[in-house]
Amino acid sequence: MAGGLDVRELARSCREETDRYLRGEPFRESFCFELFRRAIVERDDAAWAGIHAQYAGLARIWLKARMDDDEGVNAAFERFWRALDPAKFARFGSLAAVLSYLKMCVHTTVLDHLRTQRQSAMEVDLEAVQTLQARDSVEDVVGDKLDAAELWRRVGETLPHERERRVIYLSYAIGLTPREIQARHGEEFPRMDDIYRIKRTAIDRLRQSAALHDFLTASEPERD
Amino acid sequence: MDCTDPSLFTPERLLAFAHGEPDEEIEPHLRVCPPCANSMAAYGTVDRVLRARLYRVECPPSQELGELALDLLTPEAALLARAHLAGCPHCQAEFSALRTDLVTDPLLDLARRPSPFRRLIAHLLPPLGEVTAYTMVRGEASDTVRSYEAEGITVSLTLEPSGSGVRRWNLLGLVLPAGDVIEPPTGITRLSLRERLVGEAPLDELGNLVFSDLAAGLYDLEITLPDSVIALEEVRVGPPEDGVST
Repeated sequence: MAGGLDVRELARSCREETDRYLRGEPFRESFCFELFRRAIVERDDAAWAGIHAQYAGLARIWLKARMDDDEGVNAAFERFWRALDPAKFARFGSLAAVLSYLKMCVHTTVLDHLRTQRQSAMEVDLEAVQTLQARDSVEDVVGDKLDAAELWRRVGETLPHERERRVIYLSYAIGLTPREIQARHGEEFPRMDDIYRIKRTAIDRLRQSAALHDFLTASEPERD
Repeated sequence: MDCTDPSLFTPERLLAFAHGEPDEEIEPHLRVCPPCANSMAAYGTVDRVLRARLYRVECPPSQELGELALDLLTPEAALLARAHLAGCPHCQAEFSALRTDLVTDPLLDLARRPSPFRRLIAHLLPPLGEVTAYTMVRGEASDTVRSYEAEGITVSLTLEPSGSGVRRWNLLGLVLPAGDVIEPPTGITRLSLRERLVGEAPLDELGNLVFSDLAAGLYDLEITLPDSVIALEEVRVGPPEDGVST
């Protein structure tokens, strides 16, 4: 039945059925589900606008004010739009399943917002170091360089020993201090002295590496 | 130019100091030994560069964690994601928060049109004796655990020094649920200084929060839980002699 309606009628029926649900009355989810199907499977712009109008308020609730409302809701809907294709949509058997995916998109939008904030704080920290040292602009040091995955690949190639790679991974990719490494990975690294020794050896090796020379030495202070 | 007395301090010790480990003996030496000061500064800079560029370099996109939580990944992708999760506390915390958030039927969220969050002002509890949490930079001062309470929810805060010779601090916290609730709370924390947001961080899977590399000051901390916001006002960061107190 829902399949025979045009998008405007579908959107109206979806709204009415949702109101029934909110009043605790029996309701049919087929109209809302069909609206989603047309938006995702048929890439129907009007259906997409109907979904946005119907569910932006709910997305705001899920956002829990953890980031700017409009920015968060729009980013989450865009993520939802990009992530779903007809094959993926076919796995959703109910409106609840589709809404769970939308809810997940809201939450992961918030997580990415927090990840970006954390990353920005580190960039600012790095910039502060550069300012203190009156060196090149941070773009020269950080921007012009390898992206993180490429840098990580070169680090892996430069460090010959698994324990060195492991300490560098735990120190920088996970962000643990030597004390935390010892506390969390005591079986692998029972002694703080060893962790510092391995880390120092690895850092010295990275500083001496031709593949990483420009990347790391550009950031070091002038020597006397 | 080499250090006047290389037997004094090993490179490991310089590295440790560069990474923020307090060391009362090394600092006077660095003031009079440019080679050691340069070495220490170089270690500190490389540390910051690597930290900025490699942090979470192997973590999967959050969307992948979300699809794992909804059981939508292929078996191969799920296996890889779970293998990463096993060794990554950041992804574990995010995944745990996602699973908690996604466990309810989203249609119920529609029915539960939200009441505005209750905002609770936490009050500072009297100190439990002299429980010294961390010794502050250069041993000038010590900080005790400060515990706050709001409707049975307890928030314990401690400070630890951060950075190399720079007077900055890490604020660590633990949020414990009220009464007989066993599950650690899930939520987001926000730290502000003079009404400007300094940072946001999720509570991890054990209810811990961390804000790193803070300047001294009186901060406001807000913890947004599923049904309330707990506000801790004028949380002191910094040594007592800076003239700020809780």
